Formats: sequence, structure tokens, C-alpha cells
Amino acid sequence: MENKKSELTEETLGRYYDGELDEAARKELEARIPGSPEARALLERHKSISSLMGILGESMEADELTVRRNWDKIALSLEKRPGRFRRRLTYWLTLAAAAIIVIFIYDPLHRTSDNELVIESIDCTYASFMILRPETQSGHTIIWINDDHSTAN
Amino acid sequence: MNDKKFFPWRSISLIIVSVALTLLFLSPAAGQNESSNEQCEITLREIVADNSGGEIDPALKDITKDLKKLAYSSYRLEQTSRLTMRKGEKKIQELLGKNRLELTNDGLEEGKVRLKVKLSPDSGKEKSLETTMRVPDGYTFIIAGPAYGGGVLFLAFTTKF
Repeated sequence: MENKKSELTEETLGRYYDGELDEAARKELEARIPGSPEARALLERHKSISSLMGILGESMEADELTVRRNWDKIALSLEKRPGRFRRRLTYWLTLAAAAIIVIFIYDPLHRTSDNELVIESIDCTYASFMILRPETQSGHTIIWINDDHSTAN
Repeated sequence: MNDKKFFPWRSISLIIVSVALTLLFLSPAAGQNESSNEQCEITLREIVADNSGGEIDPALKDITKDLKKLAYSSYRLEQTSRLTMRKGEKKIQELLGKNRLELTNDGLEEGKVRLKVKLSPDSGKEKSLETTMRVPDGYTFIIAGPAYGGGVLFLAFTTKF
């Protein structure tokens, strides 16, 4: 069993590098490593992999300055958000403006149909009178007075 | 990313409000406020109708269709007058055949001018026509019938305000 622990296998060397071997196995392994170029190369590879992982790990750590900047940005955006009243005002203002546009679009149609003469009152002491309404919108209203001898169709 | 965050609600609101304000500014109601004196111009055409010929004066082109429905074959434009009146103002006009016209501008209402029209013979007070009407801008109405010569007098009123 002890022998197996001190064999220069990839697994044993990996455990050695990770500090997982007991003291006796570690000492035996350390005595063998100098005589094995393969073992040395393997250990070197472990070292380089570890240092690379360390660099990556450091770069991924959230440093305090970045965290603070992010929180500052969040706080600033929260401060910039319009208040509830302002948002409601904008909403109703937009709605009112849209209503005005709709009314303006439909109103000219209404006006076209209302483009006619309105006679509020008429008082005639000639012999008689009649009102000739136009048959079409392009026609004209005629108030016809019967002044004794004049006639209309 | 959250798309909702980037939807330009504020820009859309701004565009809608701008369009509405522009429409309000350009609307006829705004125009009426500008002409707060409620001035109205009446173009009065005095036309003589009889059966002496078969012609309708080319100057009456806009009302020819209406005139053709009546019992006269000839229509001749005799006089044209322009009467400008402010709100509440009254104008008196002597017409052909010793007729008399009184026109009063009662101001604008619902996009129309309220006009009081009184037509009567200059001498006689026994007969008259009095009417109050609301007339749209650019509209032409006709009052016809007083005897004149062998025919009758037609009065064509066209509003502008």
C-alpha cells in the first residue's frame, strides 16, 4: 500500500501537488522525483495550470471599486426615474392629446355635414313666401317672396 | 436585455402632444379666436330675372343650377356690393326698384355668422321680410321675389368671415 502511494503515477503526483499525501508518502515521493524527468515535467505542468487558474480567478473576482460603481449607477437611475405623479401626468397628457387628434380627424366630417344654412326665424308680410332648400350640398337656399305678380316653379 | 426598458415611450408621448398642439393651433376654432372682432363680409349681387331672353349672366355661374329651376329664362347681374360688418354692426343698402335692405351681423356662433336680414320696399311700410339665419363661411343664399320692371329682383348673398 505504501509502495503504491509513492509510485510516480500521474494520480500520485497530482495528490502530492495538492498536498493530499501523508508525510511518509510525501517524503518518499520527493526522494524519487529528482530521478524522474517525467515526474518533474508532470509537476511543472501542474504548476503552470495552477498559476493560470489563479490569474483567471483573480480577474473574475468582483473588486470593491466595480461593485461601488455599479451600485452608484443603480442609485442614479433610481433617482432619475420620474415620480409617480409625473408619470401619471405624462400618461393623462398623452391620452388627452391623442383624444384631440381623434376629435380633429372626425370633426371635419361633422362640419361637412353641418355646412348648411340655418334659418332661425322668418317673418314675412309680403303676400306669401316659401323656402326652396337645395337638393344637394352644392346647392343654395332660396327664400322666395310672392310680391303679387311674381311666381316660382 | 429588457426590451421594455428601451421602448421610446417618452418620445412617442412627446410626438402625440406636439401633433395635438399643432392641430389645436391650426384648427378653425383657433382662427375664430384670432378674428375676435367677428368681422363678416357680405358680397351682395343684385340680379334681374325676366323672360326677355334665354341667357344667364356668366357672372352667376356659381348659382346657375339653382336659377334654372325657377320660372325665368333670363338672369342678368346688375350690381355687386361688398358690405363689411363687425359684430353688432348694421348696414343699410338701397337696392334696385327702390327696395331697401338692412343687414346686421350678430356675431359668430358654432362656426356660422348670425345675420339679421330685413328687406322691404323703400316707400311702403306695409310689407317686409325679416329673417334671422346662421350662415356658414363662403355660403351663398338667395332672397328673390320683389317686383322689378317686367320681372323680379334676386339678391344673392355670399358670406366671408
